[in-house]
Amino acid sequence: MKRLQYKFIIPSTLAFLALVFACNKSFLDKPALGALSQATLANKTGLDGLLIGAYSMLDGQGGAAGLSWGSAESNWVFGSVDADDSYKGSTPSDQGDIVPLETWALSTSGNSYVNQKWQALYDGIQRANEVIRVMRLATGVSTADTVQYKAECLFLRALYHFEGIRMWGPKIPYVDENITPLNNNVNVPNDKDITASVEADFQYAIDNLPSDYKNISPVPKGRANKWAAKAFLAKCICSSISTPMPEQCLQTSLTTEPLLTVINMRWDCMKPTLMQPPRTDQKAYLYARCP
Amino acid sequence: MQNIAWLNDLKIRGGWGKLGSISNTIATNQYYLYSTTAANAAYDINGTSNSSALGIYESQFGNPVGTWEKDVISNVGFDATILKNKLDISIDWYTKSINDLLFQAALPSTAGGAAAPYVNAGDIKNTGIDAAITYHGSVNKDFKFDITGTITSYDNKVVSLPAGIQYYDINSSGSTRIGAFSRLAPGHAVGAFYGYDETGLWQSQAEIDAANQKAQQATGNPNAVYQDAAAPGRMKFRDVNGDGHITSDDRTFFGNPNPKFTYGLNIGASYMGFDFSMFFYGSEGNDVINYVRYWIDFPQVFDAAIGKEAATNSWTPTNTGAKVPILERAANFSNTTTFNSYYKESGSFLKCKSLIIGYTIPSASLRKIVSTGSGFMYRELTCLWSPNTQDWIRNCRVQHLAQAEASVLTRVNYPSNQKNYNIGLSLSF
Repeated sequence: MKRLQYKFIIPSTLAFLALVFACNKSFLDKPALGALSQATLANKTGLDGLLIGAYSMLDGQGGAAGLSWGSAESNWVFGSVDADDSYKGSTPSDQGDIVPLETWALSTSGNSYVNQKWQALYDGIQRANEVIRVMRLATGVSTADTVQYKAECLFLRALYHFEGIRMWGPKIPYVDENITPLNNNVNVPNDKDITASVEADFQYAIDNLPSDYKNISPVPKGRANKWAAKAFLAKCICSSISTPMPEQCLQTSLTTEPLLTVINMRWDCMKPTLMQPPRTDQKAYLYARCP
Repeated sequence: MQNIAWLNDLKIRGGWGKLGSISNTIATNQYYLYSTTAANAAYDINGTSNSSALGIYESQFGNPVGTWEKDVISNVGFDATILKNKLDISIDWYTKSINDLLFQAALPSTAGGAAAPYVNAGDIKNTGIDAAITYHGSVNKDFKFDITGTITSYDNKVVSLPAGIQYYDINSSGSTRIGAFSRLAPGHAVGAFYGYDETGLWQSQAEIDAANQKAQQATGNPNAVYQDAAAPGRMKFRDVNGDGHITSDDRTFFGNPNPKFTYGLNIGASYMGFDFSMFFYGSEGNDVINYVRYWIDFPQVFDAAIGKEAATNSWTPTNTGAKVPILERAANFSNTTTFNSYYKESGSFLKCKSLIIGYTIPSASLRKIVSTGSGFMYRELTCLWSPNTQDWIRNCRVQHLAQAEASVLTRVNYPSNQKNYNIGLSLSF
C-alpha cells in the first residue's frame, strides 16, 4: 500500500492539481507585449504624448487617409488653391481631384480631398477625446493637471469641429468622448446644428486655460491658451451668423465679450506701431485673429 | 461488374469538410494599440521650427471577441479508367463557402483614425468544376503518346457583408491617382471592377448639345449638362440610372477579373529514344485593367511619353474611329481624373508554356564508358508562343491585389515569364 502511495497516488494527485490550477481561462489572456496599450499610457507621460498626438492632427497627417498638404488646418487646397491664391501646379492630371475644387465645379461625390479632410478632422477630434478617456483611468495626475488636459482637449476638439463647420456647415456629427467603437455608438447623426456644443467647448477652454505659459521653460508657444480660445470663439460666433458679412458680424459680435477682448489685446500688441486706438468699424473685424 | 468490358476502373468520391482559418487576420487583432509614428503624431509644441515633441495616437481598435472563419468545402466527383486503360477521366464538382469571413470592419470616420479590427462577418461562395481527361495512345511499339486536357471553372460571389456595410472599395496600384478600381459588394464577384462605363468618344459638338438638351428636359434645370467637361474627342459615359445626366450614381460594375474557366493541354510523346512534351495553358473570360494606358495614352499625365497608339491613332476631327481620346493638356472628369471602363481589356489568353525535346542515350552504349547507368539529354523552351498580341500576356505583367484578387496591369511589374532556352544533360549511375 505504501509503495502504491508513493509511486502512483501522490504523483498523480500533484499532476492533477497542477493541471487544474495552471490552466484557468485567463492563462490565454495575454497583453500585447512590446506595444503601447491604454494601461501603459494611463499616467502623466502617456497623457502628455496623447495630447501632442491630438495637436499633431493640426497638420492633417493621420486618420485613414489624411495627408499633410491635403487636409491640414492651413488649408492649402480649400483655402489657397480654391481662392486663386495658388495654383495646383504640376501637370494637369497630377492630383486631378483638385481641379474641380480649383475651378469651383465639383459635381460628383467621391472627391478624395473632401474625404481626406473629413477623416483627418474626426481623427483629430477622437485623439483629443482619447486623452480625456485615458485620463479617467490614469493615476498620479493632479486635479490641476486634469483641468489643464481637459481644457486643451476641448479647445482642440472645438477647433476641429469648427473647421468641419466651415467646410460642411453647422449640421455635422458632434463627437464627444463618449463616442467609441466600444460603446457601439460611432454612427453619430448629423441632424442638428452643433454650433452651441462647439462654443461650449471653447468656453470651457477660455475658463480654464492660462493666459500664457511663460512660467514653463522652454515656453510651449504652440500650446493653446486663453487668448487662442477667445479668438476662436469670436471667429465661431462670427461664422455662425446667417449672412456673415463683416459689418453684420461685427455689429453682432462686438456686443459679445470674446471679440472685444481679442481686439483690445491685439491693440495692446500693436499700440507701439499704430499709435491710435482700435476703431469699432468693420476693419476691426480683421483683427479678430489668433494673437 | 466483372463483365463490363469497357470499364477498367471506377471510383466515386465525395467529401465534406469544415476548416477553421485565421490566416485572413493579424496576430494583434484583439488589442487596442497605440503608436508613436513621427509623421502622424509628432508636433512642434515649443514653436522651435527645428524640433518636435513625440506624440502618441491610437493606431488600432481591437476586437476581443473575434474568432475563426469557417471554410466549408463540399465536393462530389468520380475517377474512371475506360476503353482498355486508354482513357482516364476525373471530374470533380466543388463548392467552398467561407462563413464568418474575417473582414476589416468599415468604421465611420467619427470613430477616429485608428485601423478598424477584423470582425467575423461576411460570406463568400465559390462553386466550380475541375475536370481532367487523359488519353494514352500508341501507334506502334516505338511510338507512344499521352494527351491530357484539364479544365477548371469557378463562380465566385460575395454573399453578404457585415451588417450596415453596403460595399468596400478596394484600392490598388493607381488608386491614389484615379480612385479605387474595384468594389466588394454582395451579389458580385470578389475583385469586380467598378466605375463609369465608357461607351466611346464624343464625335461632335452637335452630339453633346443634343445630350445636354435631353439632360435639361430630364432634370428641369436649364443649365444642366449631360456630363461634366464633355467635348468632342473625350470619353462618353453611360447614363446607367437613366436620370438624364452623369453623376456618381452612374458608376457600375463593368468587369470581372475571375475567368469563366482556365484550361491546360499537356502533350507527351516518345519515339525510340526520343521524347517530346509540350504544355499549353489558357484562361477564358476574365477582364483586366490595363493601368499602363493611363500613362501612355494621356500626355497630360505627368508629361509621360505617349504610346504608339496615342501618337499615331488618337481621336482627331478627321480620325473619328479612334479608341484613344483626343490628345490635349486639360485633365478633367471626361478624360483622366476618373476610373472607368476605358482601361478594361480582355484578359483571355492561351500560351505555350513549355516545350521539351529529349533523347535518352541507350544504356548499352554508355556501358562502354561506365559500368551501369542511363543518360538523358534535353532541350527545354518556355513561354515561347501565344496567339495573343498583347505585351502583358506575353510578359505576365499582372498584379494580384491582396484582398480582392483583382487583376491590374501596372507599369512597375517586371516581366516574370521570360523566355527560357535550356540545354542540359542528366546522368544517373
